[in-house]
Amino acid sequence: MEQSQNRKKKKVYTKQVTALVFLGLLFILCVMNLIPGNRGAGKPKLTLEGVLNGGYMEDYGSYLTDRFLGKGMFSGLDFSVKTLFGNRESEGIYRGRGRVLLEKTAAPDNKALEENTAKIKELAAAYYNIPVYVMLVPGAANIQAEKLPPYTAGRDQEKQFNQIREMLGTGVNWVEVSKALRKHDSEQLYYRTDKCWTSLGAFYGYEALAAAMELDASKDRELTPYVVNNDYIGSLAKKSGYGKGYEDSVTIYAPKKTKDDVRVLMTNMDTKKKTATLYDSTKLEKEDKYSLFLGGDAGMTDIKTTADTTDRLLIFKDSYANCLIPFLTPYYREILAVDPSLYDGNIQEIMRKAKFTSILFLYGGNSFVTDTNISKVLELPGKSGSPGIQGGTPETENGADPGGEDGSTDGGSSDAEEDTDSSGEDGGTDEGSSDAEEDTEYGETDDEAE
Amino acid sequence: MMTFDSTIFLFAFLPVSFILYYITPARFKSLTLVIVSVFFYAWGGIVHTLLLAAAVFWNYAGGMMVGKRLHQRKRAKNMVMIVIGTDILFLIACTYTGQILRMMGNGLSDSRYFLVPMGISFFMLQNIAYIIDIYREDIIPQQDIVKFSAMIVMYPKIAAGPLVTCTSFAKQLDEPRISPGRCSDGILLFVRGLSKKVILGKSMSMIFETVRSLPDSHMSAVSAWLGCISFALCIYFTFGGYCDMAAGLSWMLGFELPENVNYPFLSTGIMDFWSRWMSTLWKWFCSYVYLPLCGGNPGGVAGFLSLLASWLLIGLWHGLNGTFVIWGIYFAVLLYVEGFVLGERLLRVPKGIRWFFTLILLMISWVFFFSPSVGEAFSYLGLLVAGGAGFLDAGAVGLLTDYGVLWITAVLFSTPLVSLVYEKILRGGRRWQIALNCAVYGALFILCIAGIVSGTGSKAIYF
Repeated sequence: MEQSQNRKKKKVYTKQVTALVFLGLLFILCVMNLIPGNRGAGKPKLTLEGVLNGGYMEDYGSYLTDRFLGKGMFSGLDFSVKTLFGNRESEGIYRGRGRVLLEKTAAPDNKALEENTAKIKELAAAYYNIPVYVMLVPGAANIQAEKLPPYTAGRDQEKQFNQIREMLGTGVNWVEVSKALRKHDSEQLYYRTDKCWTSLGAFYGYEALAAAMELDASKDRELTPYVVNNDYIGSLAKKSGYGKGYEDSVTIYAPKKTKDDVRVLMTNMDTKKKTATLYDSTKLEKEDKYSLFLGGDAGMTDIKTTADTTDRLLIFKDSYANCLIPFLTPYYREILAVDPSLYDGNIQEIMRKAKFTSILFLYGGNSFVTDTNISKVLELPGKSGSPGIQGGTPETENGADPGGEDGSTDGGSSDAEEDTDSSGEDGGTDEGSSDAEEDTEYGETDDEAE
Repeated sequence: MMTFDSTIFLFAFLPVSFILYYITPARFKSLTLVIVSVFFYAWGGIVHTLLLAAAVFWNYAGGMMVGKRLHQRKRAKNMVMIVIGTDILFLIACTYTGQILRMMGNGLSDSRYFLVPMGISFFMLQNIAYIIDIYREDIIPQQDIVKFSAMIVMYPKIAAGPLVTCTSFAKQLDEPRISPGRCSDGILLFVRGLSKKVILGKSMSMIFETVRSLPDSHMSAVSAWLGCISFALCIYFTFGGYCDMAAGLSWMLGFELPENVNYPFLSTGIMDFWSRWMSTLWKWFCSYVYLPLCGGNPGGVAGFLSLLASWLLIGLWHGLNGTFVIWGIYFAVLLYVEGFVLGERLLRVPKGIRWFFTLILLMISWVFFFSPSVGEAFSYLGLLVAGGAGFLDAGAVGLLTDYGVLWITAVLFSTPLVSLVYEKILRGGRRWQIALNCAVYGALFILCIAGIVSGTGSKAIYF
């Protein structure tokens, strides 16, 4: 009897101590969260309506949660628990088989998609003598679906593409890239931790594009891959929390023979920074190593080349294009890449830049179906709702006087080949550009072209 | 609205309300309880709080008026009809308006004012019970409006029950039993409930969402069954956890709430299930709808029709949807067959077999609970039988193996096994055992905070 009472007492004691520990923990967390400080989002605005219907209180609750001390740490802990329990999806990203992260196929924003395709069609109709190409790059979840967890059945991206193709009609040339990639689906077409394709994937994409655009085959070069970095962790890893230790390598392709090399002068039109290479190797030291290609995303990037041609290409693109563009330099004298999400001008301004011979829309499937910027760029200012693009052949002025000025102001030299060869070691700020002589040459050819 | 698993509740409301409650002298404790409960409710919006206040005053006054007319049964009955009729209309208006507007495609349905006021279906049932109990002369009308309000609005149970009988609760209100022992028990029960809801409930909803996102053509029969099981476990941990938290908070306040959830997946019959799952709800409908309707003959046609009517009401009480109607009919038929067709013969069937078939029947019932429409519910039932991707596919195997740790944890925690073993480990109260207990509860609380702070809570039907 006494023993059982004693046991009961001990049990109560255990519970009381535990309850005290809980209260202590609660107290500490309360006090810590009382500490003022600017953490996260701003306080919600107090309104009578909000108090009456409870909206203010709900916002205030979320505000308190958002500014909770150590939120990042707690979220990380929650993530670990879920992962331990077997969760393979986070923020729309799957942890696939074979240490690969795959982005879910996005749900299309139908309204935006309709507007974008309508504007592209208008563009093609207005500039009827300039062929317009649309190339949508499928995601890894589509091409390498076998890497997805077995119980995931995502949206059908092929179906989305077919619909878009139908919406675009016959006036726009569709570049079929899915088939080309599927042929090589066992290769590393995508980064394991990024939604973008690798240079190898982009290479296959370029082959499909070259065939579709009927690029001059005599200019094809034999290319060699160079690995420039081995510890790239892409955006999917950062967003999802998965993929610690899933490092990828970054590769660039350079012509095997020096004589095949095409010199370039790339101008970031946002910052006016000029370089004689398409690769900004300083980015390899930074977190976002994919920015190696074209120095990262910019509203407008102008690339002039020494290619023996008068063709000029206008690309509307997202980051997928960045590692494909280097493959295109032998075929174009100038490539103007516009990222509509970062560019705030309009189509008229763009068309005035040069006499383009082809227009290409190059997007990742997921970003194209959710993009709301393409139609804005293609819209004529002040004419919303009306056809934004004026018909007929564009009266372009030769705004793109390449060489002369550029070269003379920016001395120094370092050509593309050197950059590619020097791989990661190259400091590669490449502020310099091709020498004046070459620049004059550009100018002359250019003038001839006019 | 404020839920127990929110930062505002845990780190602001909970400490402040308890400090206020404990420092209040005994005779004013009910008043403090009412004030903090109203504040708790008002966090969901002032307009809804006014509706709650109106309901409380109406039934308080209604109770007094019925009480005064008790010696004239007819007049009392008329009074009861008026009060309860208004209550029912009020409940229907508050619950269905938003949904009807949505069905009509009216933009007003998006307004927060047309959200269902928190816990209205629970506290209105309690109001109705109060009036009927007075008419039946089981209780006398509560004279003290503060005590009456405390009984209805007490915050641990306002959002999702359990439904308490006025007799038992009125006594408790007179003298709340607050002691360090009960308070500690309450705290620990609260932490356990919180963990069930936040850690296991949320995690099980991951599996359920995964299954639900599969198109029919990718869903094998096993996947479909796993979907049902994950939903059952999710709702068990979410609602069961919530009930534990409510009970824990009540202990801390010095009250005892009736048991509402008691390992429902160990049921060996449908009746057994409803005495283990939301038992206070079925008890309520038994006392105030089923038994009065069927009179003394539960086995006959009238008995069946009364059972059917009760379950149709329970179905519609959950929401205005054909799925809930079918769900109600389903249980009415099952209960009738179990109780009056098979009856005693069932007891001769081994317990294990009864348990297995009960579980199967319950899993089927959840389909009507989670499907948004009757058509979808039936197509899901078709998947349970035939499967859109055969009987077993890689997806189903993946669901089982990838989430293996979670399945095992959840199944274990849905039985009393874990708590029995844990109690055994702790028996003796030695230092290391105390330390272990502290570590376990501390870790659980930290994991709960992690779950709460990282957001994306699972949405459950009851609150």
